Amino acid sequence: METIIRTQNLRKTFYTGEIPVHALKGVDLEIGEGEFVVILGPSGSGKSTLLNILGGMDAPTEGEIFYRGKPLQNMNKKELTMFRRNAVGFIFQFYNLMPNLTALENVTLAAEITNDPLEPRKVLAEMGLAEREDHFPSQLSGGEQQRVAIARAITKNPDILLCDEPTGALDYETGKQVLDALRNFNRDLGKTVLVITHNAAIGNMGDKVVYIKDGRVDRIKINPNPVSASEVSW
Amino acid sequence: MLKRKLLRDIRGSLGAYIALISVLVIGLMLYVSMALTLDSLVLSKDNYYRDYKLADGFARITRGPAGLVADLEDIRGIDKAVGRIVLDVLVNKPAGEETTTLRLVSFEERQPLNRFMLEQGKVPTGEAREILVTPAFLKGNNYQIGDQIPLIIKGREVRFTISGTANSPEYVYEIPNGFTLAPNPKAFGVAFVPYSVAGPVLDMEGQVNDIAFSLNKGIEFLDVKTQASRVLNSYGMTSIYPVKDQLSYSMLTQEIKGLEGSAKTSPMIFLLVAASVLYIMLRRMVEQQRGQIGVMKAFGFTDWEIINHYMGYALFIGILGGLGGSVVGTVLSYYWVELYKVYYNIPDFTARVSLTYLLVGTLLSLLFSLFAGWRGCRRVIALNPAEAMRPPAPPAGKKTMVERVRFLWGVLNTQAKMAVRNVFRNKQRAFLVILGVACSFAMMVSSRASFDSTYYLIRYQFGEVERYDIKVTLNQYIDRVKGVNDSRNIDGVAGAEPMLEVPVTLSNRWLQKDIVITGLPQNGRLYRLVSAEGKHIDLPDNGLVISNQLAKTLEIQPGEVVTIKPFLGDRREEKVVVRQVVPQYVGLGAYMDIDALGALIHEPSSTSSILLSVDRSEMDQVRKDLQEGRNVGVIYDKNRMKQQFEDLMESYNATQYILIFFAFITGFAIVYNVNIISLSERERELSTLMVLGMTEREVARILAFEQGFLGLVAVIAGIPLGYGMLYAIVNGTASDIYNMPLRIEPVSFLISSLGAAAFLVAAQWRIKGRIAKLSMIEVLKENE
Repeated sequence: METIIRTQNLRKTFYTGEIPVHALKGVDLEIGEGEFVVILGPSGSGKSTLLNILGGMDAPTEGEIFYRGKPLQNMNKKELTMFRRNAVGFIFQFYNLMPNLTALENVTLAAEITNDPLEPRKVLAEMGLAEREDHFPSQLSGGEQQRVAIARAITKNPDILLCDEPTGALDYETGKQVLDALRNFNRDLGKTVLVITHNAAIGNMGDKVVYIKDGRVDRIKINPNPVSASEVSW
Repeated sequence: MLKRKLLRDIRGSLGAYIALISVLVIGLMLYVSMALTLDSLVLSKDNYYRDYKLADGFARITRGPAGLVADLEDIRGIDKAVGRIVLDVLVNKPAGEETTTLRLVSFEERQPLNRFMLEQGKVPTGEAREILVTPAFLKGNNYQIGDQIPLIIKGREVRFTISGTANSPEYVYEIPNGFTLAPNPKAFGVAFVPYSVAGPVLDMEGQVNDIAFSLNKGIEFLDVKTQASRVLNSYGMTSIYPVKDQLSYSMLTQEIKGLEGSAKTSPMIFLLVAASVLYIMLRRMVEQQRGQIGVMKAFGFTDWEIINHYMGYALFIGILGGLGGSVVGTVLSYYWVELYKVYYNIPDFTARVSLTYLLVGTLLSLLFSLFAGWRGCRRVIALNPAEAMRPPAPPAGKKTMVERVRFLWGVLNTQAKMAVRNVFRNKQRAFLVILGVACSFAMMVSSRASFDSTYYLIRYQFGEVERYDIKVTLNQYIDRVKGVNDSRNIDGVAGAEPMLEVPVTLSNRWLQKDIVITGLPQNGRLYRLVSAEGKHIDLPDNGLVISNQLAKTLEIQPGEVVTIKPFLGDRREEKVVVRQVVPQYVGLGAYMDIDALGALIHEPSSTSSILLSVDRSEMDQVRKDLQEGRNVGVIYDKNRMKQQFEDLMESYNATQYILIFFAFITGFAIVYNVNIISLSERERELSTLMVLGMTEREVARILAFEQGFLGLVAVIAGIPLGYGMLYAIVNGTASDIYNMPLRIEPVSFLISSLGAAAFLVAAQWRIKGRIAKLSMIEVLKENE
């Protein structure tokens, strides 16, 4: 298995006022192509900061991060934008759909800016939203909105999908549907999926579970038999 | 503590506040400066007219005994009357210099009406050949007090010594006739001569040719016109008119009317724009800070205290804008007054600081901003604390009407679709942006177009209608054939045509007007009538062709029969058919075949003027030769007049660009502020787009598309608005003396569109800087 992302001694310090906050205190991580990785940690552990740096939205204060061997920390703004555009798909806790675009248009918007997109309508249908494609976000339930957001990320056909608490704002059943969709994308297309959450139960789905504590990798657990979303419960 | 929050909030978006205050300052500056100038102008004018006894009525006669004024004073209603000798003579100058006409106006000691005001030097005693000239004439021709002026009187040179300078309320606007639109001391001036000197020198001892009279209280000009005419007719009356038709008086009245109109309208546009933007800003602020408002309410602040806090922003803007505008406006009024003083001779006309306007300006500014503020923040009251602390309901997406146009919608990519929906998302705001941009575009168009219209007038009048180079007005009628032949014999004259000008009273039903009918030869080339389509019109054998302004004034339709009563000959009334109405922008013109007009006054072969076309190179010599003619009254050099007119417009050019600049600032302020607001509302959306992998440029493009779309709509809406404003300007200044054509050149639309594009781009450019500062992480962390 090829390594898609590797970090070395990744550090991030924020300065809020005079006091430095060390969000990441040297993270070493290796993520393989096609892996389903769950990053687990309590809030304030630095997992979101890690995700932001992995996604090219933020730069580390120290250390290195390589995407397919290329160092992200040396990229300029334009190159980072292109990295986000073509290599990464993001899914947020609060969906962040464009309120004045329909479900299909939200997905199409992402497809339009990417080199090798998947067909938006088809992706949306796979999310079970074929009937809802002409609806605006305000007309969709939370689960539906999150599935549109996943479709929007997937349609870009990214090598890696980064998900920040994707089920955080959803109820139990809907959360499981969303996790199922993520797992399918990983399995069917062989793409890397990275989910960060504080929900330990989701860890059982990951090929690899990374425990983050106080800005460091506490331990890494390899799961030889990850369970499906339907078997997860919390 | 809330005050501290207020100041910090203002500091946080300083740019937006500065832009807003600038618009207020511009509006008030215009208002205060114009109102101050207007007040001062009206006051000084009224004092001047009163103190120096400007007459209520005027009349011209061929000549009559000085004693006739006693007959006039006998008329019930007439208080005082004075008789004067008024004659235009030429200054004897070397060939090559501009022809200068000096109007000699006789005066007597202790004259009851139309007194002059001595500025410098001393009043001539009447023993020597001394005159007073206007200060403008003295300065414009580089004379000194004590210098001698050589005048040509009856073909001979007569020298007068300048004993001093004086102004008269009769010549506040010092022009010789209604065809001259601006004073030019090099071409025309007024001089005051003691009657005892003027009589013998002008061969009019014991006689007068110009009458002025005042009326008793409560008496109108029309009450005495008939009786006065009866007295004066036997002395060859050529005109009788009330003071409101007096040239200088009427020009000044027009100017005041125009200034009054501008002072009332143009500042309001700026104030309304500023108020609208303030309204949007405060409304947005209240929405954005609803959490804080909730907390304040939960703490126990009353609605009134919170409203007070938000009104503080309006107060801050209102006071700063009001004081700033009033102060700058007061300073600017000094500049206006100086500008006016170049053209209007009014003593004691000075700009002054007025506490009243400082107050009025500030109150006006406060009124607009507090009203806008109240409208913007009154929804604070409706919020209950718990609800206020919850975030507002997410904006609902909706399909827009544009989407019904399927083929158009299909062409757009998703980014463009998003932009279009955003435009429609907040209709009220879109409307205000369109209104603001349209107003500022229309202001650019109309301030440029008032120049277009004037230049068009110049081209039309001096290029199409008046084709001659020199017009010689004769002191007496002469035989037409002889006059033309004699003129043709002058070296350098390429062509000559007669022109017969007859003053008449023209009546249509009960409407009447004293005008001059111009008789022109058939197939004349030097003075042509031109139709609205620019085609040359042949004069009918009989009947009148009149200008549209005259047709409007007397409600005449082509084909109607009107009555004319000449001021010459036996004054018999005649019926004449109006054959055609032509556009004309200067004067109340009426035209007739010269033979038909001559027959009407029993002077079948006479002419009163000769039009000449002259070789350019021979111009100076021709003028010199003409000056020596015994019967030559006025030598009117059309090309110089045209040049002078163009120079005058040139000198106003700066005003045009200042107004365009103001419009630009206003447009920028609106677009920039609304952009900032949209941006703050949509930080989250735009950050998401950047996370998705859009470049800053692509994100900015979405906003640019929106602004471009609104801008385009605004510019289209601005075209009729610009025409409307121009129409208001043209209408506000129209008078019997001149009325401007309504004319907007395509290049003015182009320049104004570029101006609008420029402030849209400038605002967009500032926004792009803000987009670059958007933090993707910060924004996405928050809940919606």
